[in-house]
Amino acid sequence: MSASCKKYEKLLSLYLDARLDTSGRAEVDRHLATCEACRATIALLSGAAAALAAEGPAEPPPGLAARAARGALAAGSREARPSFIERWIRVAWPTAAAASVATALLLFFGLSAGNGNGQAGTSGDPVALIAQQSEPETDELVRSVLAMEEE
Amino acid sequence: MRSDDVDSHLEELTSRAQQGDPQAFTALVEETTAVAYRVALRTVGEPADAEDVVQEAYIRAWRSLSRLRDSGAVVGWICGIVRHVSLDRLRQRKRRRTEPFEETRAGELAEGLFGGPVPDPARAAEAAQTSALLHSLVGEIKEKYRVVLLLREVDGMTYEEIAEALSIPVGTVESRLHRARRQLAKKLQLVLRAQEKEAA
Repeated sequence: MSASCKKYEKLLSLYLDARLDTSGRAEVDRHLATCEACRATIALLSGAAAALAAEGPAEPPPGLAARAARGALAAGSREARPSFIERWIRVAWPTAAAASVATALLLFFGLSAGNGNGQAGTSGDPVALIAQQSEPETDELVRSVLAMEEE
Repeated sequence: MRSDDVDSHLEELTSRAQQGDPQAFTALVEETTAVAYRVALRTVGEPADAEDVVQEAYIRAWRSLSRLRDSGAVVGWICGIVRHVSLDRLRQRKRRRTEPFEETRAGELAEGLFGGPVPDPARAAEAAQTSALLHSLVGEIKEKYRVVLLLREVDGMTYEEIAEALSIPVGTVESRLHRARRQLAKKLQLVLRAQEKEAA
């Protein structure tokens, strides 16, 4: 196959199926007139196409459609398309549940910690409780750093 | 390509089937079985397997029809399920595509294809043998190219119909067909050379 044949390789397939416009077909015809290798390829592929086409299109076995439809309807519990509310609940419900659990845990641990320290007045605010809990440690750290600087 | 009337008829059947109408689904199956069967057969190769594949595909289609968003794309969607089930079947079977090509049979194939000296009384049998041999050569072509080639050459489907069935652009049909034919031409050239060697 020559270098110019490469250019026509894909066109030959379209040529066989008559999918080239007039100028494209004329161009391939001109090439075929001078190229024995491409003529041989076209002859081979035409022969094969004719042999395959002689079989005719495959037809489904008689009754296949009816059997397939009956089988599907009998076997399949159909997935109904969820309504907007159903889809919203599917997404919103787990999110709301997770948020509730997180809040409950935060409140529970916050209250426990607050009661343990004997501190009143912040039991309703877990964030304040956590802040209070960490303050002595922070103060101690600041004091030790300042002491080191003085040394 | 199908007419607009047929397309809108399929769309309507699909919409009704999506609402759970069993009669519409049955009609939809009737309308699409031929192309579904061809795609299955060209992928798995055996008629009995293709039949099983089609039945399994419609079970899946009925179950998940509600997920199809574009009712106008129902043919490609069903054929997509068919392809999926077919490829599963091929993987399960781990079947080799073809038996190895025997060089001694090359001459028979070439004679059948190119009008060699085949005795008349045996012509029908020879033709069947030629077809089997040709299929064995086609069977050696990579699956995605082979399916397009067979849908085109044997089933006579247009590029647009193949594109729709396989959910690929027409340009991809062109290039796959070109590759399939290039491979087939090389194999046929080997056959011819073998024939020449035998004759010499």
